[in-house]
Amino acid sequence: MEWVYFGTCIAILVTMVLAVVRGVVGPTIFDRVLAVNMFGTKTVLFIAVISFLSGRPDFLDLALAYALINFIGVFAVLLFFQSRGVRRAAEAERDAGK
Amino acid sequence: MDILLDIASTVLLVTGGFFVFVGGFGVMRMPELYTRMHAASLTDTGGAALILVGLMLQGGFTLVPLKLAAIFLFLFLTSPTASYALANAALLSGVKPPCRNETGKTFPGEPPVADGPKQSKSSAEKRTANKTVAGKAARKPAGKATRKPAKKAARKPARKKS
Repeated sequence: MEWVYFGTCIAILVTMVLAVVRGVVGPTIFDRVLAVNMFGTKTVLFIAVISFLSGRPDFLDLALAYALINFIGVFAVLLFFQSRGVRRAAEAERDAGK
Repeated sequence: MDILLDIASTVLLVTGGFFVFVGGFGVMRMPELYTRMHAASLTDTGGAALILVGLMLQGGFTLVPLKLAAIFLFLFLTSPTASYALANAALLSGVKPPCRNETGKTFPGEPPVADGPKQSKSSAEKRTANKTVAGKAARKPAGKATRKPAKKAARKPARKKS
């Protein structure tokens, strides 16, 4: 079974690297938020698999806490950028009207 | 029994790992934000579900499967919500998907895609008229379809002027 856990860990790690690359490259801010969200989900999965790989089920509590934090964090960042985008669009419209 | 559980969880874990990797690859390679979001959100939910269920089968009769079920439930509820909120925020702050409908036009109010057919001057009015005709003709039987949309298309510009 260890080899299966190990392979899953490798797949998740490669995906995390790809998400980080997208977060660094991402042209818009929402690409970065998407990458961060994906990274957080993959971290939860990674901690869960690692807890089985090392035989320490206490890690699952960490995974649960990380899932909660990730969700709240992504929502906070999104609210911030959404209001900023709406404000900028309104300003641009007002400037165009002048 | 044990070996059956092992086989089942192996299949689930390998499939979940594959899903997760495909999601990462899609986020890396897709051409623009909304297609990336599509790749990420689908595989986030599906891959996480597969991996967590595969681990749950290995937990035995302890607290471990319950904790995994809690993580699974939480991810299953929050991952689509986060994707929806992300798409909503992106659309509200002006990131438009470069989509093209069957007439070759882009999103309403957008310049045409470079290699698409040229837009004529009154394309917006034509487009709305076309849409109503197509929509009505699909729903109504053939006899009525010839009369009704004509009326609708004639009424539309009048309302626009006022």
